[in-house]
Amino acid sequence: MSIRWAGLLLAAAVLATGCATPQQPSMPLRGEALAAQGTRVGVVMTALPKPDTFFPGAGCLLCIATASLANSSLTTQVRTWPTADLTAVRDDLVKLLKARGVDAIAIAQDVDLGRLPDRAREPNRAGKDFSSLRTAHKIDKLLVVQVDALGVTRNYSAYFATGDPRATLNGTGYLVDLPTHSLEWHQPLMVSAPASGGWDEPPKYPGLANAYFQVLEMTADQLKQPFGK
Amino acid sequence: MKRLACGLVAAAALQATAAAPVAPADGVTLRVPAIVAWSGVPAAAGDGTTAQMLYPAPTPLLGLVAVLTHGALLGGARAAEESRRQKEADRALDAYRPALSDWSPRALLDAALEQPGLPAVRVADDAGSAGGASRWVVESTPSFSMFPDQTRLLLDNRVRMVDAGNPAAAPFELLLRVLSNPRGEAGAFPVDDGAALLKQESARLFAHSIDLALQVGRRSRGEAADEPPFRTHRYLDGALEGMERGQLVGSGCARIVIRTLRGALLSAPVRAAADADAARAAACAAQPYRVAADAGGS
Repeated sequence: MSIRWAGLLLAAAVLATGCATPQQPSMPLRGEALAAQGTRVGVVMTALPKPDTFFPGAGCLLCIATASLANSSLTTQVRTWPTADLTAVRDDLVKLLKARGVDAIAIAQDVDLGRLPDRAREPNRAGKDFSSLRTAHKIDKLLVVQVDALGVTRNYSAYFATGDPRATLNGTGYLVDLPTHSLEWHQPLMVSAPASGGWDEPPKYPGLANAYFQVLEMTADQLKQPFGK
Repeated sequence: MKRLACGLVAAAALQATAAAPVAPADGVTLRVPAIVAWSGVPAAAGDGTTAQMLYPAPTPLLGLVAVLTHGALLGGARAAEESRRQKEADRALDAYRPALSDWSPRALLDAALEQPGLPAVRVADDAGSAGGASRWVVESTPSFSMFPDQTRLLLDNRVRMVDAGNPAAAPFELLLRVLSNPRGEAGAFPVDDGAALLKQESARLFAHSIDLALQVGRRSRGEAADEPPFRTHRYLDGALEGMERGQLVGSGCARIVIRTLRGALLSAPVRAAADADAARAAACAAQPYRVAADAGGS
């Protein structure tokens, strides 16, 4: 077997291993998760990313440049949209937990997951070590709202848009039992909404802006629903 | 849904109005077009996810041809899909078309003017004359849409108010969107009796939109009030909950009026207050679309 073939096989093996990395599936809130008396829960958020535009499917460098150029006015506007509506979900979750008789606190400081130590990947366990938060805030469980991306997504096929842009948000909500780091609730967030009645309305793009705020509301609903909304 | 894009026009007009306010005095003349449009509310489009495209490009020229062909095919497919969705939505009206064929704009107007709460409005004659006596002429272009479940109606009404006494004044323009009240267990609008309930509901929506337009027109004449804050409002959208970002400019019988980000007015049903007293409940039953512009609306 030539060195070239060996290299190809190695590359294929690496790629296949990457594809096989298990994704944490959605997990409903465990019934007993918040039942224990005296359990103290902290609610924390990751820093919300700045709203932006995304063009999946524009696969080549020239395609990306074309999509970015064609949507530059939209991108400029999307980057001005506020995120405060979603920040309020932290206090809303604390209120909902308190309404269930849980001793809950809002952790005002955003958590930077990149600075926390990694844990071994195990199913139904947190991938990060939150022990420092447990000590600092004297909490037993941590409810994490993690938003990875938000803004507007427009699908492309190489150089051409294949659909209208949609407001989108990707993230995760999860509840971690801190002594064991086991997940007691895990909800992937993939929320999107189209602009009603056309989207191409520069410079303000009010239809897409409306869809964006709808997405923030829908995300907050998805996060609050398991806790009694 | 496509028609809401016209809201941009309304938004621009609202801004123009702020600079040169016009408002109807008591008594206006109402004018409608010869045809009132009816259509279905199409489902939302998909997100356009497709497989990745690899262009065969043995030469730059062939590559360019491949790219242009791909673009033409995608454009054609999207237009065809939009047309298909609209045709499918229009089927919601099939059963009502015979009854609606004799529902003339004049009949709609007459039925609307019978609704309680509408201020003094006269109808332009068949020749479109403003009637002479009214200084304010309201030109209305209503179009109705039926939801697929045939239980709800949507009215988009583009209104233009003209001061006949001052032709130099900028007209006041506004796009109003009105969602009908939920019919609950009553289900789809019945087809029998000449679709009388559907016609009655369309007249109520139309009267409500004119009433709202006149209220807004009058307020534009007054002193500027504090602007209400922008927030995301929720309303009843069939079995679901609709959301709209905007300013709350009015409320009434289980109904809110929002000035949307496009500058249009959206009047939509909300859950009735549980603590409504008997007098209010009776008033709302008699006049279900009654609203009043709140402080802060312009």
